[in-house]
Amino acid sequence: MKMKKYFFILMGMLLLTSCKDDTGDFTLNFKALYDGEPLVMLEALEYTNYDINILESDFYISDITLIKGDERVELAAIDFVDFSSNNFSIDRAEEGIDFNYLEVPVGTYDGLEFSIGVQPEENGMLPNAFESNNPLSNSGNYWSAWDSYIFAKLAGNYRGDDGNLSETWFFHTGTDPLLRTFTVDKEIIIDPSESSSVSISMEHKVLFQDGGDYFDIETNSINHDPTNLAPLEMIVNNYISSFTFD
Amino acid sequence: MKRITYIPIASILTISLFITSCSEPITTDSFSTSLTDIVYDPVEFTPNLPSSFPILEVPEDNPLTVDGIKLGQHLFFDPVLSADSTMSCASCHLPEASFTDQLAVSTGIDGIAGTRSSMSLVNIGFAYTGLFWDGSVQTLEEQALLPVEDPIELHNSWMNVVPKLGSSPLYQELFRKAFGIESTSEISKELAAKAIAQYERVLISGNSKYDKEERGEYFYSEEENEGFVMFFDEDPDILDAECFHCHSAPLLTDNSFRNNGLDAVSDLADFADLGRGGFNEISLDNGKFRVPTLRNIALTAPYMHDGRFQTLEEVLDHYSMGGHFSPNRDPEMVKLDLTEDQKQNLIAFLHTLTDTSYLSLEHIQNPFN
Ligand code: HEC
Ligand code: HEC
Repeated sequence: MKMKKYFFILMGMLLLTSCKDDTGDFTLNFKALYDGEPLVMLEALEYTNYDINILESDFYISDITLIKGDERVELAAIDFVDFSSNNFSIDRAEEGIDFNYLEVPVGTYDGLEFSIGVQPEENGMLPNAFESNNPLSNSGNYWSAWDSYIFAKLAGNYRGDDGNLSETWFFHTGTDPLLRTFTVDKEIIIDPSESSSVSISMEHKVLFQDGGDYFDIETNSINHDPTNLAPLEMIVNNYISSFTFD
Repeated sequence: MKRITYIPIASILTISLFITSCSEPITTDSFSTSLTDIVYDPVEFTPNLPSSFPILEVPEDNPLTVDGIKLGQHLFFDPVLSADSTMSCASCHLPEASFTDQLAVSTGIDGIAGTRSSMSLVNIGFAYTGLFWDGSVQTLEEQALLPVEDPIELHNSWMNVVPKLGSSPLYQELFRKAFGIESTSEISKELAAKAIAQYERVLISGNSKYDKEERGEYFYSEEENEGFVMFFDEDPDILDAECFHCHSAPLLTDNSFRNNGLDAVSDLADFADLGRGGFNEISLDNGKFRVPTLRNIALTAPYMHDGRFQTLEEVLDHYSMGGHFSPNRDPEMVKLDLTEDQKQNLIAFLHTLTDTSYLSLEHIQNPFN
């Protein structure tokens, strides 16, 4: 009698899961590179004629959307790519960060799109509007002088006179005009029988590009002028150029 | 045939049901008094939060009630929790000192000193990244179980405390009213911890000059304003002190784990206290501690996890030089080279974070006074 009951419960559960054959799972993976190698926080990196390291690299992605003709399927409104806490070892750097989107409508999509930063509507809100499991609740990523979230943080050290990687640098981006969108122009098939994925590699050295050169971190170690957005503009455009996908 | 395949699954299910039903809360059944004569009529409690504050997230199985908070308030101030009835939670978390003990490191009932400084409990209900300097405990309910049995704190055992609570008419009534239990045998450490957690969630401080200024009810003095602008990097023409990256509004902490350059070490293994890394075993996190709130900071000297700085002046000297070098010192720790005036302005701003108006609230005060 008892056995029968469990049997029906189990069958019921199986039935429920198997109903979803009109959806499939999709994984978006992010990897951080520097000069083509997996980026490990704190490791010395050859820069121009001096070394740097990176301790922090994280950014919001928003409106993560699959595209099929005019049709748009939103996978998530917001996510936070946090290499700072993920890339503490070479293994973790090689694995990268996975965002798993479940129950995506099946189909053959033309590509994927997401913005680097926070959409204007949410960017007009304050962190206290969001529940703690939403990355937008992080008050440390908000800057009231900009009336904006900090879209991306990039920070580390460069080699100082003491021979240590001891002098700090950091670059933060933010504000509505600096939201940029990246498109993965690649066929993506969502199928109930196997999960599909796209992996995006972010080449960090590209973030520092200034024309054909790299900008001098030593003399411009902090960008923090809410009224001077020009240097930020260069960086946010570099974010787009830093991405490759497969 | 098909049925046979499911038998192991069915038995796993049965076993797991069995296991869950075994883990009853530890209670002592040497006594049992019916409590059903006492009226149980729970009233929901809605804390009065400033509109700038985040959402207060309360576990579904421990909603805030007037009587739950009242029980927690009694337990928090009651030395019955300690082995020799000399100390309570409040001994190390004094309400008038923003719930710290104003010592460099705390000392328990046996006079044994710990290695870390007591932490302020104001607005502790919003600490969603974990509790303690290293974030090693996730919820207030879990945390509240620990001090009673910690040898360097109350050095008692719940086996000892629970019967005492059960035989006290005061606690019989408080537990019944808080949780609707029908008999003293249902009094447990888990319920005690839930009540303490409820009390802690309503320790709200949001009525400082800083809050009033944000609401347009107060105007900063010139010094306070300069300090505010530096603290929050509000004006490109005035030195950015970068404090707000870690001590962010409105709680004056983002509850992240950071190394603010206290120890000069060249190897990540060499920090005197490994902090976050000691808990999660990620060496990159060695020497990182949870960013503390700066609310009521003028009341909570000495400062830092080990109480190394006696005054706010010493704290600002530390920040002025960007802290000491260690490989994972936070890049937002910038060498500020503050002038004396700039230090005083920042200190003036830090003083606007003082608010002890909660001391006049009946549900927060020591109920035994
Ligand atoms: C002997 C002194 C002492 C006693 C007694 C004591 N505490 Fe603490 N408390 C501390 C210290 C020290 C810390 C920081 C410990 C650490 O980070 O390792 C702390 C931390 C906490 C925290 C975490 C705060 C935060 O911001 O993460 C909470 C909550 C807390 N105590 C509640 C209580 C409760 C409830 C009791 C009574 C059941 C109690 N404490 C008894 C010394 C004490
Ligand atoms: C990089 C993040 C960061 C920045 C920037 C920062 N702090 Fe802190 N602050 C911390 C951390 C982490 C602690 C606790 C460190 C410890 O005890 O190990 C702390 C502790 C403090 C304390 C002592 C708190 C206590 O309860 O003991 C004060 C006061 C303080 N900071 C003020 C400031 C001021 C003023 C500024 C700007 C000049 C500032 N902080 C900038 C991270 C930061």
